[in-house]
Amino acid sequence: MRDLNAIGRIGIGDRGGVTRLVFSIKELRSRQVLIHLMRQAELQIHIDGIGNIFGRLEGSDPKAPAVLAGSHLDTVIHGGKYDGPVGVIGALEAVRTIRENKISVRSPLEVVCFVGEESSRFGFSTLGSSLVAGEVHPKDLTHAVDPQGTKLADVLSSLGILPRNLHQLQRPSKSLKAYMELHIEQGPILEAKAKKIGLVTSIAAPSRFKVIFKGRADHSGTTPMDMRKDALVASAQLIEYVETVCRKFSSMARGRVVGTVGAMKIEPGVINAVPGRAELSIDIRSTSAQSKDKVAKMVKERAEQIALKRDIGVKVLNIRAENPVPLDRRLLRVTRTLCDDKRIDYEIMPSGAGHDAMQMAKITPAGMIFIPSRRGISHNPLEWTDPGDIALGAQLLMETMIRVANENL
Amino acid sequence: MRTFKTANKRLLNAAQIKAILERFAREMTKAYGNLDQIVFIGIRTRGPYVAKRLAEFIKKRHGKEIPVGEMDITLYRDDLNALLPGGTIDHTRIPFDIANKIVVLFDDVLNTGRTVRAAVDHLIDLGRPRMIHLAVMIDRGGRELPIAANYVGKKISLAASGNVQVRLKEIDKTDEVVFQ
Repeated sequence: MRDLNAIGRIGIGDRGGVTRLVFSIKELRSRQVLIHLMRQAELQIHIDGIGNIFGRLEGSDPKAPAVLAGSHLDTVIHGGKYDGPVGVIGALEAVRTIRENKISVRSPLEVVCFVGEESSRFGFSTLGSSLVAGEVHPKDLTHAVDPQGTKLADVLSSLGILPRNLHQLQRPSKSLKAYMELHIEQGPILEAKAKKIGLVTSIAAPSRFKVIFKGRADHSGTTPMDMRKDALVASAQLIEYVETVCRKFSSMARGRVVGTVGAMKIEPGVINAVPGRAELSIDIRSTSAQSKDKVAKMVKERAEQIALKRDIGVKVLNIRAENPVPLDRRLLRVTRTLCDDKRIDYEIMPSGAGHDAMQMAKITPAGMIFIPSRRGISHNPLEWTDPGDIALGAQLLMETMIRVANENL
Repeated sequence: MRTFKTANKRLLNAAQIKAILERFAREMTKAYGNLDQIVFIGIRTRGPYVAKRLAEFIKKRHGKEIPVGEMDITLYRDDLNALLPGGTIDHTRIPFDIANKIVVLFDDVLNTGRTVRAAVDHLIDLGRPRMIHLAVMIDRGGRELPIAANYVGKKISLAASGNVQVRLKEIDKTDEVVFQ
């Protein structure tokens, strides 16, 4: 907890929110503290070309592939102190305990801190782990700009990072045995079910698109109700439909689909005019690609029907469609057996949010352990996880690492 | 264009530097007793060499091993902008715990006090020492912050435009302090 608090103090604001945007001074300071802690723990430190940090403890077989565990230290704006650091410091504590107690491990163990998991600054999420997984082309990064107008390319060059070197960051699969990530749930399920541990089956992926209804902006006093082309009332019908259809697909068996209309722009947006244009930003997520695509298709079709019925225009703009990532079943079996042996009450669950594990899963078996978030709150200064739950999660992570390092998966 | 040749004025020679380190050792053993709680941290670039030399001297004289670390204060400077001058984040090397320790910071020259402020902030992010003290080879005045050194090799008052250089064998091939 001391180390977690030390990281949590860096970037803390007046109202208790933590802001450590990727490549900001505060975020770099947090990485500097981590390197200090790793050095104190006598780990062998390697920093790759983008700034991902690896702290390694050799096992008895130096040629064996490594078992990695970690997460990230960057945050959103006014975020909490647990989202990310719990996984990094939890892994550090696990490896430190293994070293101090001279527990023998065959595979080397590595604590990893990935750069830029949050998309808050440059719109890229899981930047560091994507590069390690070989999932992003350095060329894709060159045009990114933060809200202050600072180019990612300039930030990288000021840090001495050359984009052309970034495609060398991919870790060969054969050098890795597994990746484990301890993370706060960032949702309300564990707390509601009074469970201490969540064992993650898969990571949901979003389909994001915009629906734009084009009606006609008329005078609100002079236009009779039956002569209006109100884009906002059409939107209201669609928003309700998103909720209805997602509820129908909310069971585990149907892919636990969640859908959100998180942003809306109305024009002209004044009290005395009928809304002539409405733009809805829709995010549909599921652990089942099939369910997600189906729901997204249903929402788009319903938008067309609403527009047709109301005789207004409609346009759909696709933003992004990603595939859900299943996590490794063998790792899940290991964590599950450990929980059973220790009589820890656990929940088998998908992750609704994205994590570095979803990138690492592309090059090595990946698993995740969740611990409860109070009231499910995350990306917020009120984010809180009980220290006892963090300790339990770190303990489970450690035992998983030992088992995976010593046994065949 | 005319060029001016700058004359170097030597402020300390090798023997004087050695004498200062011996005095520091005496003062510190007197102030800290058995030295059990003491750790040395040098501010890069020359601070670590001063710290290491003193630690070696104390080891020879008193048989006491004092842990020595070094720190890079770049990320804590008060004139950083959004783009950082060089992004090295692993130059701070303190392979021991500083919590509840008495940390003696070492720097070559104390001037405005801004470097020391940055070093203290950096240190606090890494842990919570019981005390932080400061040892400098030269205190040339000109403070812009309320900071004072606990151990001063030589106190001088010089023109603000001049440059005091502490040269150490480890990197400069010679032991001397000059004013340019």
